[in-house]
Amino acid sequence: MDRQRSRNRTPESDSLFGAAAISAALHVAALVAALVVWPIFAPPVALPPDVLPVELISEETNIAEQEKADEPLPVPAELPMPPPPEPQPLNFPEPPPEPDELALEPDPTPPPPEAAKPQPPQPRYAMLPQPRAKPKPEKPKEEFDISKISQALDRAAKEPPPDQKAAKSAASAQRTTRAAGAQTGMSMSELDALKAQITEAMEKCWRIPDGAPDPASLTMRVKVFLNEDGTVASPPQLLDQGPLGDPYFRAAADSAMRAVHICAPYDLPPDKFAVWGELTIRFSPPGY
Amino acid sequence: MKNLGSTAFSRALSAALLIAMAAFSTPAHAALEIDLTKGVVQPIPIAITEFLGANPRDQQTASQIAGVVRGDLERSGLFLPLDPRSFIEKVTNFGAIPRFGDWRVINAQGLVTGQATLLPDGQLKVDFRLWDIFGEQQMVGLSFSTTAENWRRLGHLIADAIYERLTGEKGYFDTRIVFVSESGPKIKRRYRLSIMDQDGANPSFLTGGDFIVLSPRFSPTTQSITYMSYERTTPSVFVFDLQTGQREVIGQYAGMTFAPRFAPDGNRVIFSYSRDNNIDVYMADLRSRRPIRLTQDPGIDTSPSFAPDGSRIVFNSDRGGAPQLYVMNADGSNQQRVSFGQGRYTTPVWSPRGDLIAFTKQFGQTFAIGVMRPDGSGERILTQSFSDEGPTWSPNGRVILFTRTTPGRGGASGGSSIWSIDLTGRNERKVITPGEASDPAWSPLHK
Repeated sequence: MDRQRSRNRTPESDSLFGAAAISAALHVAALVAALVVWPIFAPPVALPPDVLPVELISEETNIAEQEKADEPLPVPAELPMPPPPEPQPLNFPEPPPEPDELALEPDPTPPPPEAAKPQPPQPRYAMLPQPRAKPKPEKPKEEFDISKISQALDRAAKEPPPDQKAAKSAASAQRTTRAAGAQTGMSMSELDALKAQITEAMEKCWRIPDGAPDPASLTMRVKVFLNEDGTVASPPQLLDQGPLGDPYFRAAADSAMRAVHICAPYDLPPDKFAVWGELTIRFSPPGY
Repeated sequence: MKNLGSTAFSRALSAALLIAMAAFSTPAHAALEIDLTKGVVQPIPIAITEFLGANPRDQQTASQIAGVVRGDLERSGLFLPLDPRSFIEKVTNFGAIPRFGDWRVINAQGLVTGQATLLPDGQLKVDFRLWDIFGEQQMVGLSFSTTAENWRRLGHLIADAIYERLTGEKGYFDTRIVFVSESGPKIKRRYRLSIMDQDGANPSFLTGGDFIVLSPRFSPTTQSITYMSYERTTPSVFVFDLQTGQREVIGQYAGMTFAPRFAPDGNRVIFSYSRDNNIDVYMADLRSRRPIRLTQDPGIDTSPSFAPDGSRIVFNSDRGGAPQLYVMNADGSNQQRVSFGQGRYTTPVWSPRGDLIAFTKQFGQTFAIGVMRPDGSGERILTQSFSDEGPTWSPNGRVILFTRTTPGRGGASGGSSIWSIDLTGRNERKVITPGEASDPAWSPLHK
């Protein structure tokens, strides 16, 4: 019955009233039966009282307290990072420091707000501002020129058909691979094995930005320089930029940077350092 | 001859330049490219140090606030506050730069420091900083001032700031939950409208328990709640102003009204209205109270919920047989069925983020909470049990609360409680409520 109630809390037709009357009658009948018959067959059972926390004993509506909690809080002031290396008292941009706080200031002329936000001596990573694509200059509208059409037709006639094109690009890819192999002294399978080794290690270090509305928009590339001992040689560089001020992208970039550091030192074959000394890692968060 | 020589020289120079350029344009070796499409789903280990206080009284408040921050972040399932006993550096100066190496050793990926000061005028001032352990810089630093009684809210605001910086998502900790508190024996059950902070603190009753109250919903813009109550001759939709304690009925309609929910602008309410043996979705302006009919179907149309931009409404209807989800424009036009799975789909709620619709799904003997995109694609079941129903979203569209009823004896319902689940389907938790509770509704963020 209760389960029924919880399912149909929102009555759904006018016939409810008839049903309610029947239900009430049945309830009364059941109650009477229970009151008369139950005591005969069952020994009285002491039901534990409902335990309610002290806060809920009062039935008063404590709106007054609620109102207090509803007071809007003032907008927080941003704290500048403490200046290295010597810790100094905080400079609050707003609200202006109280007189007694001013008394604590060692320097009577505090630096301007910009100077109050010094960067740490050597950040462990940096963002490379690299525009994705340069805006293309608008091409002037081309006028109709029959000679261009004939040129295009000539070009098309000279170009190999798509099949040949694919074969050509495959051949060129092979050449590139061979070249890479020649440079590094590694075969393709060795290269793949090395990549798999790095990938496997990094998968354990990367806490994926989980639950973002559009994980595909959080794909980014990070350039990493390693030392021969597998430690991170210089701050990883973010090669892509997300939408300006996008907090999801910023958080995802942080998680990628952290992954690079967490995984270090990388345990990779020293004789192949020429291959893995410089990595470009593409972080593509999976959907959930 | 001289000319010839100079020409030859310049040619040679050009050739050398070209060769040099070609050499420089092709790097000796390209960076090895790694494609990472998998990672781990684990909470971020974060060190939340004991907040500092200049005297024992300040220190006590500071510790309590740090405790609220730890609790909020831990319950979110996205953070793992580290045991303070593992800390190597003992932070004693809020203004100093931490020894990052000490925090890397204990595998912390974030560090939170703070201090609290009770000012002579009764104001409480709390400062905190979130540090990037690997980047070795401050990620967030904020200073709050408010009345001392608001110390818990300051803890929630700090947790919100940390959550937002590290996930990119707005926080949801400075919020409240309204729900129906259930008490008393089954034959004389009392249902009282109740409210508490999202972490279970500061619970209080809003109604006395003499009448059944159902389906409370928060206004997205004001400190008001709409709900359904049986205190009049017919069940009716009420609006409760939390600031003034004033209650009023929405319209004096001839039939029964139920399943109310605010529009995103907070000025209108959509609900179901039973008239002429037909239940349809209506909307009423809170000033004029005049109901505008949005659906005309002979089936039962109920549980309407607005998209956050106010352009569309999702509702459920049994016009096709079993209850399924439908989406229509805000004026009732273009009604489209969006759920096509097996089972019964009810209580749809549009996410405040706009990207998903949460719902209750019944199939066989199981009740489940699921989400799907507004076009019906990407359906995922997040939780299921004997009875999980009635989802409500956190204001950031990341977490869902729902009612779980355990089976009682003989197939009847046992107790009801409120549970939470992350939209990823991970981190299912029971919400602490005073006694049995059902029908939760999450507030918007405090303004």
